[in-house]
Amino acid sequence: MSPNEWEECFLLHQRSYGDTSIIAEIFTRKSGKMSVIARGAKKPKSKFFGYLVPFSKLQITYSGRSELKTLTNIDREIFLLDNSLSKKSYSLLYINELMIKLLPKDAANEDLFNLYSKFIEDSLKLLEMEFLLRNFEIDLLDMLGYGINFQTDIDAHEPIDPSTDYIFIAERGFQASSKNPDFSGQDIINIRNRNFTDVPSNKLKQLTQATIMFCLEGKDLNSRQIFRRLQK
Amino acid sequence: MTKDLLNDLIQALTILPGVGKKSAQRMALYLLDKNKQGAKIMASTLLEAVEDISRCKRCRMLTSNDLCRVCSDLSRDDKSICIVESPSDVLAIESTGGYKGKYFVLLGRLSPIEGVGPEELGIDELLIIIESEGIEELILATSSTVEGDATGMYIKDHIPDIKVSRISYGIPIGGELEYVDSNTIAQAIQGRTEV
Repeated sequence: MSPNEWEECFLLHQRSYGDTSIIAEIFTRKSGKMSVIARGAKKPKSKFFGYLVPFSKLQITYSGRSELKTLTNIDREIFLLDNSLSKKSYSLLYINELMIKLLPKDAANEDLFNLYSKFIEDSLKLLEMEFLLRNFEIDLLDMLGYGINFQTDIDAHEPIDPSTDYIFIAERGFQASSKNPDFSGQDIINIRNRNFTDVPSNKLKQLTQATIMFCLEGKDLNSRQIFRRLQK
Repeated sequence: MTKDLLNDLIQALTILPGVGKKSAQRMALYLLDKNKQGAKIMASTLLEAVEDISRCKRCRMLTSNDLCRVCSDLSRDDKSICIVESPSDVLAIESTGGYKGKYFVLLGRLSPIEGVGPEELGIDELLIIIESEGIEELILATSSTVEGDATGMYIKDHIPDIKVSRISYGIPIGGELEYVDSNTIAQAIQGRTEV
């Protein structure tokens, strides 16, 4: 991208740098995930003041050749977050941690940008986040190349049979097994068709969590550990 | 090698926020040249403060006693707690004189990405205070960010059925609407009060 060209982005995370500056992790439509420094952004008179918040779609320009770019201009396209205190903020923090930890740097992926953008917009409209989160996770894994194979089993490569039981192995997929099965074939077909209402929600969650943990080389996400206490 | 105390002093002063080498040099020369007595008082106070000031056992505010000034003040409303992120927030609210209850300082806010969880924020200690002191009202004064929201929500989710409110957001006093960002205006309209 040439300098001074406006680029659409979301802020994923920001931290203080020095007394008045902010280093932000952003996710841009054309250039993927990157870090920018906003100099003086904490001063009330700064043109960046108040803009560097997550979940609002921003337009920015930046300059610099090193890995850390310098933010030169900022504008807000839409502010997507409502400020009412709700449990949604947990889900949103979780999604941003996922994006920070799972996304490689500078890997531009416009589909992924659209997916994230739609997730944020939908999360405002919906009260129940569970299915929205699962849909996002499955699509995200797909786009990053860690997609789960819902079509065939891993041994015989036969199509998933609604009347057979399966176990799920994180890095590989579904294996036919009558011993302590995780899913029925019908469950798997339902998930494939994104018909989550008939699938046990804890099983569905385990499926995406196991795959995400595998992608993160066995590490769990902090947000999950923090918010797990609440769900008990 | 001889010791360069002047240089050491300048270096030491640069650890202060907003103080670069040039300002540190000016401060050092002022203290040594113009106000030696003030410098001595400053040095001894600083040393004493660093050694004696720790966290208030109840609210985690900075104090040189077991309990801070607010927590030990019997005239304050002891059934209300205002939850803030940092000691500077306590000073900011105290300077208004508009709040007569007590405080609890979280020393941060929930931030999964940075690994800050409820343990770091002392939420368990807060829950014990709420229970043992029969607190009737909580005022959440965490920042207006997603992390601030999640922190507030997390506390609300863990406490028994007591009144929980959150400070309102809106137009600064003396501010003109045209210079206020649209989100703040939206918040201000949502949180409007009857006159």
